Amino acid sequence: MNTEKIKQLFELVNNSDITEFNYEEGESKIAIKRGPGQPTQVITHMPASYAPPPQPVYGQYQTHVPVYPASVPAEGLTAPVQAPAADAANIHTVTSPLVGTLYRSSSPEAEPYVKVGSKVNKGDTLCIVEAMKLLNEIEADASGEVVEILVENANPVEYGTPLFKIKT
Amino acid sequence: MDSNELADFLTTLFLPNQAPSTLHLRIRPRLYFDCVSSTNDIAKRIVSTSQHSVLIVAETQTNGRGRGGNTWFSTKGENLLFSLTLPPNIFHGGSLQPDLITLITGLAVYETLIPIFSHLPNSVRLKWPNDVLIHQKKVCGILVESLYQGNRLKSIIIGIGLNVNQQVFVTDIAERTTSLRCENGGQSLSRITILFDLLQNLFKFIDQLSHSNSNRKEILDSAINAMQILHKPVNFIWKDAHMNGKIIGISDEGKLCIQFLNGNIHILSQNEIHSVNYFL
Repeated sequence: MNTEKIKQLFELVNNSDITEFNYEEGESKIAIKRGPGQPTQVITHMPASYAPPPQPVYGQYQTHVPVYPASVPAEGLTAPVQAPAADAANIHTVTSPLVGTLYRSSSPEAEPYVKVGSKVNKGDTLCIVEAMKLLNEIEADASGEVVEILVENANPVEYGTPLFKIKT
Repeated sequence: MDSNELADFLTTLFLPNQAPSTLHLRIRPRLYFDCVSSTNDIAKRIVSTSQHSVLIVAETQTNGRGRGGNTWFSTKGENLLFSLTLPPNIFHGGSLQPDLITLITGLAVYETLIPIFSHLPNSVRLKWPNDVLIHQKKVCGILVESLYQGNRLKSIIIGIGLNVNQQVFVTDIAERTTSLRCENGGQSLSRITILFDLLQNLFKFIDQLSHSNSNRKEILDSAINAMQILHKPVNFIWKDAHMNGKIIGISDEGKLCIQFLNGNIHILSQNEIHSVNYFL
């Protein structure tokens, strides 16, 4: 189960009168509870296989190095949030395939690959996500018009972060 | 050494005095150009659907580049300029992750150069994450790029510019750039032997990682040794502030593990910090 799915479930419950909700998928369990007038609470259980892998450190002091889990801010899920309006069926969201830093152009001086209003074809470059000196070019996987850019230049992105909305 | 020798070598990928190799089976086609914008640009246009790697070699580039739009200069016919594509299925099954490719590419270049400079101990160094230096001067540029269509990895491209026989450098980079020949007492070196060894080393690491999980530690240990990085005082810029600390290792993903002066330990990736200096 990924963060996106948990968000979807959260929004589903938040937009309804449901006060308690349990959901199971494979070994993953999610329970959402809400008292009247109370903010929604989410309790998730993920099997070990879904946990972010620990990061062993090779070097003398490896036992002292803390393990940083992939950052899924729990507060973001438990705080009462206004569910965003659902996208129209013809809006395609391009998400980040990896963790890194987003760049909207090939170099600091260059024009951005796309702006709001740009027409793109499937295969056109939208941005670069850099991770450990690896420059990952993210191409559009749908043709259409860029209607929203969700991450600013040089900002960090996580796996699954929505980057662009394309009206197909 | 003339250009035709390099072109001829690419048709066979075979050297008579070397150990038997499977390079010619794994890398095809091999493309040779007199001049291109950059070999990575050509590699990006080749969307390989096969299980093979594609090799693009050029004698000169009009738009050789590194990260962030930096330019890579190279004199025609004297150096090695090439790109190698890796098919995405290479990442299935083992512990080879795209983010380790930059590290193992630097390590492959390093291991290729070590025998050449065996008479000058400690002259060749790998600087985290993947700069290869001889006598503290840069000899190689590495640009690894990947192409994703949405979330689907289409291709990984390893671009390498290795200064082999170039003897003259433009003034503003001359102090921090060198070639193998400059550091080898002016003696020219065979580009085809170096290319062959480098490709062999690259595939050695790729195979080690893609076939087994247990080799990752071994490879990261090799990188730590090559970098001579452990316990070194380090200074760098992080979040616009000058920081000092001590390097205590490399994480599983190739990130730098630094113990700050206050004892806190941080694992930092190359795009979080810059101007990293440690005593080589």
